[in-house]
Amino acid sequence: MRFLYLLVPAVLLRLAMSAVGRHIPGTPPPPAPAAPSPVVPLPAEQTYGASPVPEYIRFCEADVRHRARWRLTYGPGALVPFRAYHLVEGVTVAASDVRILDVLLSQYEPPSRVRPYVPEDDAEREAERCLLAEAARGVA
Amino acid sequence: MEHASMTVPAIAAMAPAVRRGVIGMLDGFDRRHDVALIAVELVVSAIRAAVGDLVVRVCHLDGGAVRIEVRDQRGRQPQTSPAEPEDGAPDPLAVVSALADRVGSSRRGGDCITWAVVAPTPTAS
Repeated sequence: MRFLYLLVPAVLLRLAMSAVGRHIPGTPPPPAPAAPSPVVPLPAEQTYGASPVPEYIRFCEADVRHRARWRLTYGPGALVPFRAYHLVEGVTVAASDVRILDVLLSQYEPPSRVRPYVPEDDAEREAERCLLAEAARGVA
Repeated sequence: MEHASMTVPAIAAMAPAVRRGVIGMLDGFDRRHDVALIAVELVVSAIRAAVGDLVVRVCHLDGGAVRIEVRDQRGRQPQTSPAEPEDGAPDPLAVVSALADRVGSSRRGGDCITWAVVAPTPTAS
């Protein structure tokens, strides 16, 4: 039992020493840490990288113009990188140039749909007539 | 060879937008309205034949000519309700043949590409 009490601290000590990288006799000492590099002064005029979106200003203008109906995205590397998704119709259009996309979005008129106000089925029509008559009686 | 392209869904509401888009692609080309009319005819023909996306591509060829091509997916997504043309109805692609200098079509990987080449108006020297 006493042996175990001695063994556990010895194992822990060995693990800790291996973790910090102890010096083994016969091996070259670890290299000294490199001297801190001299401070490089920043250029007087800091430059920023170009925007990844070509014609970024025009892209932003088109986005602002069509934001109510379309969601504009840019996918670099695609044949037609400028894409727009119609928020209501669910159609997607794309173009290789943001100007063309702007023209497409300006000219697109979604097809009008006739809402089914009048029921087509006879039974459905009769039921609606009864419902309207009851409503009229209720008001009277 | 410069080119510009756009991808639109195969719905009839897109035809006017394609027309304006093609005109916008061809600033400075004197027969851009002819090319736009051809583009609309090719797009409408593709809409009749297929659903899915259409790719409209405009290329500037050497010598000042313009090639317009419309690629549809009639091999992969064919239109299931074929429209019956009325007797005596004009063939829309006849308009394309009348306006373009060259017309053709090809199939590649299930896609169908119809194209036309329009040369600029020759200048009197």
